[in-house]
Amino acid sequence: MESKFYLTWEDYKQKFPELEKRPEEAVAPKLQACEDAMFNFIVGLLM
Amino acid sequence: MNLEALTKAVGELDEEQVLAALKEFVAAGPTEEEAQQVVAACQAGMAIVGDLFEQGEYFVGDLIFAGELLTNAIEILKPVLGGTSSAKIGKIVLGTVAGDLHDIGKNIFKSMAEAAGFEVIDLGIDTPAAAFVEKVREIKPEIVGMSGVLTLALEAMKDTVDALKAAGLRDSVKVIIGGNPVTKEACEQIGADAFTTNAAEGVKICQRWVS
Amino acid sequence: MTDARARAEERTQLFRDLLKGKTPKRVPYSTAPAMEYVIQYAGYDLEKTLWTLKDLDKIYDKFCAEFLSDTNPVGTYRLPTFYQILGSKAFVMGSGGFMQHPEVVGLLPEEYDEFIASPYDCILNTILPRLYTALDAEPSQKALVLAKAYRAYLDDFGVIAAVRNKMHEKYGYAMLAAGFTIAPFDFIADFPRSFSGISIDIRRRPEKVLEACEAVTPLLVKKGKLPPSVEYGYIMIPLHMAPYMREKDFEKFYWPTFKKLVEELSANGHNCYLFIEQDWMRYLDYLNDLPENTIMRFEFGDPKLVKEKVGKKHIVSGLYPITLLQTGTKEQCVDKAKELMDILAPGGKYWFNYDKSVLTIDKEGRIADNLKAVTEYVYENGKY
Repeated sequence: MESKFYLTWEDYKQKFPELEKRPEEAVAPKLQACEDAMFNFIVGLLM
Repeated sequence: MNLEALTKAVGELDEEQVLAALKEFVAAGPTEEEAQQVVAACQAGMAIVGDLFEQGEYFVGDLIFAGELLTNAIEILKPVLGGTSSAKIGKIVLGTVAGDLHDIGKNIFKSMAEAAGFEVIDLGIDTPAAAFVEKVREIKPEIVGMSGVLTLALEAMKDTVDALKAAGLRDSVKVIIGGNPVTKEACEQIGADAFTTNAAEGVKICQRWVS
Repeated sequence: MTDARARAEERTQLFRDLLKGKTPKRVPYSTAPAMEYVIQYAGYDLEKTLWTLKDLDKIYDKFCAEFLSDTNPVGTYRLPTFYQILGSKAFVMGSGGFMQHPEVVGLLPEEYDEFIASPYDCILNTILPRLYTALDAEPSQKALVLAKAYRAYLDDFGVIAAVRNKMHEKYGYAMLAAGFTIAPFDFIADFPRSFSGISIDIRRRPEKVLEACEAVTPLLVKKGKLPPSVEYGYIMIPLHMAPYMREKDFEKFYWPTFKKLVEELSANGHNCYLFIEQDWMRYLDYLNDLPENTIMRFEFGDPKLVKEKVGKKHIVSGLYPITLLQTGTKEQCVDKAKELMDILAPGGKYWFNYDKSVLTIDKEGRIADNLKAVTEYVYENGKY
C-alpha cells in the first residue's frame, strides 16, 4: 500500500536502523499487528 | 428556443445540452414570459424523468441527478425570471420523523414535488411530532408528508398522526408516508391516507389530492 | 463435555457444513434483534446503556435464555463513545438513542486525484478531519484525539467481546470468525462523496469514479481479510448503492471492483457474506457469477427466483420481513417462515435469517411473541 502512514517492517528498519539487531521473527509480527490494527480502525471509521 | 428539444434533453438527463441551451437562451435577453415557458419545459422534462423512474428505466440515483440538473437550470434562468413565481398548486409540510436522521428519500420527493408545482415546507430530519403540528397549524397545508428509513420511524409516524388528531388538525390534511419500512399494513396502523416507497408515485398521489 | 459445549459443537458443525456447501443436519438459524432491541427488552435505558455498557451481560442473559439462535446474538457495530471523542458527523445519535449515518461529504469533487494517488493518505489528511471534527486540529491534538478514541473503542469492544464470550460459555453458539469490509463503489459513495454526490459524479466525472474504485480496492481487500489461521469464518459485506443505479451504470461502476473484492477474499479461503440491501432481483445473474458458496442475505425479493437463480451455487439467507414480526399475527408470522423454508431449504445452502435486524421494541410485546413462534417453527421443521 502506497502510504506514508502505514509502515512495513522494511520501513521500520529504515527508520530505526538499530532494529537490525533485534529478533525479526519476534518484533516484525508485533509491529505489523499494531500497524494493521490502526489501519483497520481508521478505514473502519469510513464504514 | 426549441422547447420540445429542451424537455427531451431534461428527460434524458443530458446536462451538457440542457445547460448550453439555457445559457444561450439567457444570453439572448428573453422576456419574463418566455423564461416562464422555458421553466415549464424543464418541469415537463422532470415529469418524463418521473415516468421513466416508474417504468424502471431510471433509479433513485438518476432522480438525484435530475434534481441537481433542475436546480442548476433554474439558477441559470434566475436573472431572466424576474420576481414573479409561477402559481403553486398546493402546500406540503414535509419532514423525516423523530428519531430518524435520513433525508435522501425526503429530498428526492421534495425536489420532485417542487418541480410539479408544490410549495414544500421542509422541516428537516429528526422532526418531533410537535414541530409537524405547529407548522400545520401555522401554514395550513393540504398535505403532510412524513419520511423515514428506520423501522422505528413507523412508531414516530404514528405518534405524529396521533398528535395531529389531538390538535384537531388531522381532518384538515391528507397524510402521506414514505420510505423503506412503510407498507400497506403500517399505513393503516399509523392512520395515514397513503404510503409509497416511490417518490414519483408519491408526487402523483399528492397531485390527485389537490386537483 | 458440558451442555453448552455440546451445543456449541453441534451448532459450529452446522456452519462448517453450510460454509463448505454441504447440507447441514438442520437449517441454521440466526435471531433478529440487534443490541438496541435487546437492551430495551431487558428494561434498560437504551441511550445510557449504549454509553456505559453497564450490565450488558445481564441484559443479554435475559435475551439468550428466552430466544434460541445458532449464532451468537451479542454484537454491534456502532457505539457512541469513540464517535463522540472524534466529534463524528458521520455517525451521530438520533433523539431515540439510535446511532445513525446522516448524509455527509468527506471528499470534494476536485479532490479525486488526491484520493486516487493514495487513498489511505487522503483518508487521513483530508476525509477524516472533515467527518470527524475533533481530528481537524493541530498535530499533537489530533494524535491525542485519535489515541483517546482508539482507547474508548478497545474498551467498549472489549466489553462486547467479554459478554459475547460469556454468553457463548453459557449457551453454546457456533464459533465463527467474522471480518467486515465494503464494496469499493459503496465505500466511495458512503462517506467520501455521499449518495447524492456519487450519483452526480458518475455522470460528470465517470473516469475519476472508476479510478477511485480501483485505487481503494486493495485497501478494502486488506480490511476484510481474516487471518489464514481462521478455519471457518465469513467476511460481512453490506451492499448499498446498486439498487439505486441503472444496470448499465452498475455494470460499469459497481460490479468490476466489487467482484474483484469478493474473488480475492474468497481465494483467501473464507466465505463472503453479502448483506444485500434493498431489491437486487435485477442483478441475480451477476451475483451468481461470484465464487461458489458466497452467502447472500437478501433484504427484498422473490424467494423462488432467488433459489432458482443463485440458490444452487450460493448460500441464501434473509428475506424474512421483520415488519411482519411487528405487524402480523403469530399465525401469519409462522406461515411466512414456512413459505420461505419450503422454497429455500430444499437441497441445503440455506441459512434462516431475517431481512434486517430488529432495532426497536414495541409496547405490546408483539415482536417478542412472534419471534418466539417463528424460532420454534424453524427449529422444529428445519431438519434435513
